[in-house]
Amino acid sequence: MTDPEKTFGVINDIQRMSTNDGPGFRTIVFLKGCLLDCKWCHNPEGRRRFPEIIPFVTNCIGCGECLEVCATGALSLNGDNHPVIDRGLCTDCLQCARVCTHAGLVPWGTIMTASEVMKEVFADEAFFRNSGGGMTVSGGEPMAQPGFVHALFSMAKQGTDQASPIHTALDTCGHAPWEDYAKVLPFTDLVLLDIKHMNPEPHKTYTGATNALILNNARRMAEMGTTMRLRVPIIPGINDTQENWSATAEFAASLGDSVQGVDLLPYHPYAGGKYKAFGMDYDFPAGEGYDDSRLEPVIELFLKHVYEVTIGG
Amino acid sequence: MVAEPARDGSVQELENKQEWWWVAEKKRSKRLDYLRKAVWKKGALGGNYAPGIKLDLECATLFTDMWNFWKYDPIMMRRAKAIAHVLDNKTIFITDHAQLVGYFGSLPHTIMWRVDGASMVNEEAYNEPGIMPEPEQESLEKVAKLNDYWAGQTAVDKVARILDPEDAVKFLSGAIGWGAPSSAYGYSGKDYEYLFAGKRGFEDIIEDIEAAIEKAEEKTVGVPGPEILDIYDRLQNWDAMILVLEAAMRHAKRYARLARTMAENFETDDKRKEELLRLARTCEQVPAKSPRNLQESFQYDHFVQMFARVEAHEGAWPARPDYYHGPYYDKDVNIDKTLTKEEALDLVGEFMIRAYEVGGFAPRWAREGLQGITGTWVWTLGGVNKDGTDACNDLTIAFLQAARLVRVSNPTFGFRWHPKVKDEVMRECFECIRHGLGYPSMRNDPLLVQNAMHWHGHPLEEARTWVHQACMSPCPTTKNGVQPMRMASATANCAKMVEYALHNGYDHVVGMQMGPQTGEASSFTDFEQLFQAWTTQMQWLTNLLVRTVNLGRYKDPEFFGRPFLSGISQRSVESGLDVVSPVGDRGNCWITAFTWVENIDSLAAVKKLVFDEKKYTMEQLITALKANWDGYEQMRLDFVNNAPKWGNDDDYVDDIMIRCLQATARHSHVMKCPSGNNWPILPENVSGNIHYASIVGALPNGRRCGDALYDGGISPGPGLDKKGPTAVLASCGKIDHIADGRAFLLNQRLSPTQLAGEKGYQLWKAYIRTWADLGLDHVQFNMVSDETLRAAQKDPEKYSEVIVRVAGYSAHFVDISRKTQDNIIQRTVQGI
Repeated sequence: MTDPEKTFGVINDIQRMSTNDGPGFRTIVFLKGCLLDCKWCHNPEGRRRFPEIIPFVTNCIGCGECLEVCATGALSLNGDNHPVIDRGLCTDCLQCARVCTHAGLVPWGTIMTASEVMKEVFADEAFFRNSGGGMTVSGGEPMAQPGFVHALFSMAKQGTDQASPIHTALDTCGHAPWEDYAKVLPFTDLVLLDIKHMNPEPHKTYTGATNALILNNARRMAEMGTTMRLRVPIIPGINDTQENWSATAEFAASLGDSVQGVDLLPYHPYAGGKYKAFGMDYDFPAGEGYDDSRLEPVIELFLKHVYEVTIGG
Repeated sequence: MVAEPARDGSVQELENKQEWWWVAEKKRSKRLDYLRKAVWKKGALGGNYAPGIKLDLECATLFTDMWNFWKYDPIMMRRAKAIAHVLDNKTIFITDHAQLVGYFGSLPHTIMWRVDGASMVNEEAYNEPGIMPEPEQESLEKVAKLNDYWAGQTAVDKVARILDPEDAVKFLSGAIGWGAPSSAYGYSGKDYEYLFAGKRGFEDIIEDIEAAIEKAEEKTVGVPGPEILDIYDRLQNWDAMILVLEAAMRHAKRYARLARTMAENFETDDKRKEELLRLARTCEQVPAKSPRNLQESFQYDHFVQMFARVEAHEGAWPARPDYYHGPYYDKDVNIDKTLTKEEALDLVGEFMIRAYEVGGFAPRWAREGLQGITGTWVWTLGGVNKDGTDACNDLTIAFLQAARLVRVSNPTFGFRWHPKVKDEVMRECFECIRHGLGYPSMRNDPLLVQNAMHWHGHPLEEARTWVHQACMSPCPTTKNGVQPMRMASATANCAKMVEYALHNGYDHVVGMQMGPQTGEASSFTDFEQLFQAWTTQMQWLTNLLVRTVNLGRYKDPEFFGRPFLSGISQRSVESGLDVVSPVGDRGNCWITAFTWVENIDSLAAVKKLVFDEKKYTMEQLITALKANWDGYEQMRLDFVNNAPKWGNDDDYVDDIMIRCLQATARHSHVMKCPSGNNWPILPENVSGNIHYASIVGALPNGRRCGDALYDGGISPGPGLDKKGPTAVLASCGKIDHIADGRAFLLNQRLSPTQLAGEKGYQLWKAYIRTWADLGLDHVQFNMVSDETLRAAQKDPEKYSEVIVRVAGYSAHFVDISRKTQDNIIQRTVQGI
């Protein structure tokens, strides 16, 4: 086993007492870095693999202190007096964030060892024990750091002197090499697997890759008897067709008893706020959210094929 | 007057939209709906009484007249006669559709005026705009006359005169604590074991008193000697008790007569006529004789509360209604079937409304400290029987259901949780919380029973009878365990401890030397010197408050006198002493520790940034604090953001919490109450965090004078618990909830989306199990309402911990754009 003191990962956030993304109370470890490029991405701060500066333009007072310390000239102020980062010049030295007193420039991503992460996760062991909860790794895409996930989960399953082993869930897009999954799955109690589209072409258009690897991985997980929940984001105008629902439901059914249930995740426009705060453009049309009542026929359709369907997981 | 727009939609639709007030309106009976809307709200909002609320001059005048007339009587007898005169002559009324009667004022919209309590309060009453009954000029003249009469003669005036002059000035400065060292302005526990469990009506008590008198008189005609000398005083006291109990029975019979007169001469509706006659029979039975059914039992209890309030202000309402009235519910509903469940629910709801109706005039500091309510009426539900078995019963469930129908802010409930509480009861508790009532608070019963035994030596069976004496503090309801006078008058503004430690005992807000001179902090060279100074200030501050209350308690029988409360307490019935006298009282005091956590965060910040990291010198810090951080914003932000804060499961600061508590606990075994028992602390705040905002100076946790203080108890500062609720519990779990203090208040915010549906209930139950595993004694839940989220929009710095949980999406509420926030508010909490 790799030494957890020497296995490093890049963490975006650790969210304790979450009630989503798995059963019971959960600690969600959001890892940094992603393997897809979804147009509607909700966590843009999770896409790049390494610690970086994210501007919060809404906090910026335009004092210009950051420009003084930037040695590569990557920073400039735009017409609104807000900082703009030239990613080509930026070396992620993070010095600008150190001088920023108003959290206008924030270093995003913390390098931690697996032991450090697990120390915080095990702190809530009593909550997990009483609620049937545990830890979930999410992202970004956790399988962008497979060795780190392996280290976390093997520690979770080992427990500590004070804490019993805990439930583990992997929230993944499925788009990672099988050998990485093969390493992690023996320590994984539940896989939350995204199925974004059943048709490879639109899948490629909206996420940057076809679904071939994802569906293949799903089948192999099912063969291994991995407990799974399929997570289906519902994106208006992209995958919300009768045809796609039927195909998805049939696919779920084809995976057999491995699939515990399907979680429908209706699109919501909240990410637009984040993009704006980061000073980024959100290409995806920030329309209204998806009203739950529109999903009733979809739920019925899925219930013909799988045991349990939820909205929101 | 424009009618309230009717609310469309089914109950189900309203529930889905979480419009709980409208849900309640649709679900409750017509009677309950009428009674709930007919009641006058006496709680003050923003310190002001609602329009139409008037000062009760009738009772104050009646009381003063007879008090003046009997000026040569000893105090107990003199007060007994004045109280009897009020009870015999005050206006009484019966609210339409009511099945319970009794209000301590003369009219439903009046607030009681404790005219013999404190001259300072009387002067405030005179100057309070809007509360004088019409014609205003005439009322003002009456009040002025009464104030002239009582000036210098009230209970608090008498205590103030004999206090050490320096103590008196410091106590009355309002900087270090609040409260009045007198039972006139406190509250009292009731000996429910004697009254209710012992099934005694006032006639039975009078028999007990007469037996005691007979025994005593054998001695006064016997062999002379020093031991018989104080019997003469006791005989006077006993006579006073009988006099006031007889007046109380006459008062109830006035209601019986009124109900009968209304039924026989005026009422045309047959059903209401029958109700009025039942009401008449009820008031003929209680309080003279012990109750026979649920209505009589509630009526008996309510009368007792009213009589106690004619005698003293009674700012709290210790009660355990499910335990003491439960057997009558069981008899009426389950055995005799004389009441349906719905009818019983009406009675339970009305019992709460009658309590909600009650309010006395309180000075502004108390109104600010108790926003929106007239006192801390936390009724106790659940718990165990004396043999340790589960005490929850059908009435426990009925109270929790009725609470959701009447939705009053006073009384609220504290629930004595223990591992044997049944799932059906837990579900009812959860429903109240989910409906945004904010109660019941959950109390860890096994732990608090142990705590009561540890601190005050209550025997196990006595400890198991405990009720919330006020908001938080557990006190038994037994002969020796009941607390007859508010001994929490030592309500400490604890933030002053660290403030004085940093300023050599000088108070820069008040502008005088308050605490002892513990040295110029700018010359401190290590953390231990600062901690030593803090300890000295802590001891000085608690000593002063405890001295004051002890003296007030000791002199209260001489300065005030409680003939009624004594008359319903077994200890006094047997001894003939005023029940406030410490003789035979076990003693179970606590210091209500307001603004406690500021000490911890401030000490941690100094330790880290000055002594460990040496980023600033003590001199720089003191200069910045004296300037109220003005001109030192960069440095202030450093103290806010880069010093560890309580509630994040961080041993650096959590260890300081434990150290401070242990130092105080050691001192709690040194300070003694008049009965010779210990004085532990109990961190909680009510809404004193707002009241003290302008009184506490700048602190090293980054707080400026004028900023609201933390919201209380051992709750972390708002926005400073960055790691979420589980880390808060982990920090709190490091405190020894038995040996480190009497109880510890913890507020937790929960989001309605997290508590939705069956999954939400199961998670909450798991949360409670974990809370108990970690050994905490209290938790109360605030649902994150749209008001909170709106406040977060205005004041993001204070709400950074509010997290919006949507699957797969991560954001702190305040970090996202206004438009998104609005959208989330719509999503999480719609409407009220």
